[in-house]
Amino acid sequence: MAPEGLFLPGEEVIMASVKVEKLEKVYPNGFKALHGIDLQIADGEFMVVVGPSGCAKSTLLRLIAGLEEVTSGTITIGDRVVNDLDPKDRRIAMVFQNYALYPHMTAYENMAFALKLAKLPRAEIDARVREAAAKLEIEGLLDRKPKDMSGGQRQRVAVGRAIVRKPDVFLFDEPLSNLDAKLRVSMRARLVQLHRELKAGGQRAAMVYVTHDQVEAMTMGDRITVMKDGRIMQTDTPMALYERPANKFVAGFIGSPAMNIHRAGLKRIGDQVVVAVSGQEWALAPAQAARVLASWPADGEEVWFGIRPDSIDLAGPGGEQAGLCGEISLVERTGGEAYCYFRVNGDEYVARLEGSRAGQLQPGDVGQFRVKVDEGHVFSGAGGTNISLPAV
Amino acid sequence: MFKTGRRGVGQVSARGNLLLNLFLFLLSAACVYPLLFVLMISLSSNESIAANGYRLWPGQFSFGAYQYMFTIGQQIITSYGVTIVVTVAGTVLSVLITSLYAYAIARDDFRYRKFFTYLAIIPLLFSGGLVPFYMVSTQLLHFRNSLLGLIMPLAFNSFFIMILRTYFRAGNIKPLIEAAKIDGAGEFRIFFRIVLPLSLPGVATIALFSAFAYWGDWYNALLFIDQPSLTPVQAMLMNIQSNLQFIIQNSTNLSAQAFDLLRNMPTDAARMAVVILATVPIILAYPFFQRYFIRGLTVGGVKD
Amino acid sequence: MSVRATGGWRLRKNTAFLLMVLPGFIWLVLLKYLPMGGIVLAFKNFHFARGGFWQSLWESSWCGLQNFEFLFASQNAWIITRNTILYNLVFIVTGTILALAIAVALSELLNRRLAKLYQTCLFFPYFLSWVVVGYLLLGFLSFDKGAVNGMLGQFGWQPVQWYDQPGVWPYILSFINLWKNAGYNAVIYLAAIMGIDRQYYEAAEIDGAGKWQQTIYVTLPHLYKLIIVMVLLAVGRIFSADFGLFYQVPLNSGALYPTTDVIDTYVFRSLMYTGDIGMTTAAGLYQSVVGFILIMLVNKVIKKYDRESAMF
Ligand SMILES: Nc1ncnc2c1ncn2[C@@H]1O[C@H](COP(=O)(O)OP(=O)(O)O)[C@@H](O)[C@H]1O
Ligand SMILES: [Mg+2]
Repeated sequence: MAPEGLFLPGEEVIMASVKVEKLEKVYPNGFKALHGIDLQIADGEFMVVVGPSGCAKSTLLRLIAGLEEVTSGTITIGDRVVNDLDPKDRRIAMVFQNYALYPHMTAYENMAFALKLAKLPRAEIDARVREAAAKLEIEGLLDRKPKDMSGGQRQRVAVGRAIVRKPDVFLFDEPLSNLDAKLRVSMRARLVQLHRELKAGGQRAAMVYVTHDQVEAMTMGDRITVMKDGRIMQTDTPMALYERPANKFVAGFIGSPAMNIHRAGLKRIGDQVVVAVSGQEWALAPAQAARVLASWPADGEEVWFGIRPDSIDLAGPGGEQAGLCGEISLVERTGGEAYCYFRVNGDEYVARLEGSRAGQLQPGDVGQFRVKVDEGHVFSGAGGTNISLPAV
Repeated sequence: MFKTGRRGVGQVSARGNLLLNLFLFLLSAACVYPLLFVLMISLSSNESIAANGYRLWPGQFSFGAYQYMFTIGQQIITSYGVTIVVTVAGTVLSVLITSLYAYAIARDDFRYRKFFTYLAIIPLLFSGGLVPFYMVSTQLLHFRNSLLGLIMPLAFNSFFIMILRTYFRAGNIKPLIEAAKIDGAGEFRIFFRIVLPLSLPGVATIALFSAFAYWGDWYNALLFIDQPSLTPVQAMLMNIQSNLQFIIQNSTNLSAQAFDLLRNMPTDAARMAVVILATVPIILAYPFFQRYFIRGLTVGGVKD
Repeated sequence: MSVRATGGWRLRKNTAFLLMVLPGFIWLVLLKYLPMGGIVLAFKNFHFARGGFWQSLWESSWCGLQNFEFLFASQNAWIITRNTILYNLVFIVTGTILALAIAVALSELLNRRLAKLYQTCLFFPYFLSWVVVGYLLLGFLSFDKGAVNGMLGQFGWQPVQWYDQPGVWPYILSFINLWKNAGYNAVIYLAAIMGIDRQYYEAAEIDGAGKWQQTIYVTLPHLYKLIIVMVLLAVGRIFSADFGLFYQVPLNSGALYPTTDVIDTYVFRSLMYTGDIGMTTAAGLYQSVVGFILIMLVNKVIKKYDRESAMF
């Protein structure tokens, strides 16, 4: 069976390296953390699992690692069902949030520990450790103990400990969250680069990378899985998630500043679909209208209308387009661009403007904005499903 | 104006400090004085004790008691040997048994941890009493006149279990256990290579408590031992209270010279010399290890 | 197909842990739980007969509560119970007060070095064995050579046969108990005092509280819980005595039994010298049962008072 949705840009369809089917986890205290997860991660793919804290990202990772017992469902790594295998037999490596380096061992010993346990010859161990150290530029740290290293250095040793094992799957549990903002950005790039180098070196390991930070997810992942309350909301490439969020949760979670989403009403006027939001009435573009019509909600049911800050701009002199007019409450200027917060009929909106266009907008001013309605999304009122999405 | 009596924020006044010092000094002196006194008795000559009784400053100093100990006190050597063997073997054994047990019940993924936790706690609450213990020990386990009788009763201790368990449950340990699992270490290797080295302060505390308990133990000897060759130092001390002969009855070849010594035996000084010899190791070791004891006292509760 | 974690995996995971608890388990069974079964002796008319202990045990007849009747009919049960409880009560009160005083004094001392030194001295007696303590006391109380009688002599008073005077021993033993254990308890209180946030003292200072008032209004309230718990724990153990204190320190002198005999020494002597196994077991069981009830009660009280500090 050809796994669907594993079509990566510029690559052929490949074997799933990790396959999770109907995975459920109930903790001994009775708490159900995972509600039947299905997920496939390809060989050599960088998969980011993202979601708010407590949505069971770590649980998923720990189940794959074998640190927790599966309640039901299967986990397959390569071609083996690993449910009943010990962690060491799963050909995985893990990088923990707090690194979990052995404090009484040097960096070298930390990295060599697993290899020693696997009874590799000394020379081989030494070669692997040094190779990994070179890759991570930590040769100078090999004789140091964790307490004599900075956070970033520890982090790299922890990654090194994973690399030397040449696993089929790397598991990362929020490995950057203990670093300061600047280091986090540079480590982000390094990890992606490392993944690429490993791949180029013929080590087609999959990476499963857990984070609660959607920016990290967007910048690092080949694909992203968005989770909420123990369920998968959507799995797709970063751009697809951004442009075609499957539901209101994903739409609100991905992207910064977050999508403007407000209560709305739908009206059908002949072929036209009109969305009524914040006291405005906008006609949807024909293609969009057709899709909404296809999954028309119960009459009178409220829906949600979502529009990204990028799709709102200051109104030009023309003014024939759909528009919003509201009092500006805050302007955040980051230099190249500015986020402009304003209020329409009690609904809060944010627009992303080019820095120069923001001009001398001031809080208290009344701004005229135009909205690219055809870039908006309509979510059903009950489930929050995106009903304006083009069928794949 | 003058500055006396002005105290820093949160500090006692100079006069208060003086009073506190006085109070603590007197108490501290009371704690140390008796041992000093006994030391001086052990250094007194026979004549001076006969004439003046025990004095902090003897009329006449003499190392006679110690000399005497080392010339014919064969028993002292034997007893020291017994105590050292029991202390070393017992401490190693008890640290091993206790830490393994405590570690297993500290692990969340041990299925029967509750059962074994209760199993260790219940004896703290209820015991069969001395007689059944004595009967089982002598009739079933044959502790009578056996080193086992000195080692086994102290080899496991539920309080140690509770202290160690808190160390093993410390927040930093769990992720390391998981990392080690992923690295492919088995449970015993995880324990000996990762957990034990990281819990060294806790284990050292237990080892010290244990070593001091073995060193100071006379109770099990009182119950089980009447052979001089198996009598530890503390029990020997007990025996010579009534009968200093005990020290020499074990010596095989009493020369004429030894008999001579025996006649002029510095009885009182000799007893006190044995007290000093039995206590010296503790005096020497205790100040260095004090902080471990304090830590041991302030961690650990029975509760889950 | 969904695959559940198999029993095999579970067991394999637990085997290592079971091996780890095995030595301790064996120890507990042999030295704690088997003796608990031995309490049947309390209900038997046990005599050593030919064929050894086990056969005697098997063949000896049941006698119901006769051993207990015998125990409580004698004057002894009353004396040892009274002594045990009274001593413990005195120890709890005096011990707590002195330990607190030491802890507060140590914590307030300006010179930390000195505080450390004092603490080392005060903690020291705790590490001496009771045999050694017996000797130390003998140095003072010996009839012909002891320091106390020597001093009395200098004032022209008659020497006293201390080890023949039951009346003074409650005081002596209470003093010795303080001497040996106060430092130990002080260490526990001191650790708690050191844990109090300095800001409370600074706030009190700003409010104009003197050092003494700070002790009353900041330190003691913070220790309140700990004191109650420590006292309650001691109350739970009020039915058992420190054997060494009552056996070694009075040098097991028969003349002193009326005031120095406690349940533990009584049981020990009965076992070693009288050979009335049934009655002695009964005495021990009496102690265990009452002690158990007390501990359970105390734990209940603590639980109500402060969940955190309850033992289980
Ligand atoms: N050992 C456990 N026992 C019970 N509940 C747990 C346990 N571990 C995690 N949980 C719960 O499962 C949920 C998911 O936890 P986790 O996977 O750590 O979330 P995340 O990593 O996404 O923040 C949380 O609600 C958490 O409280
Ligand atoms: Mg997590």
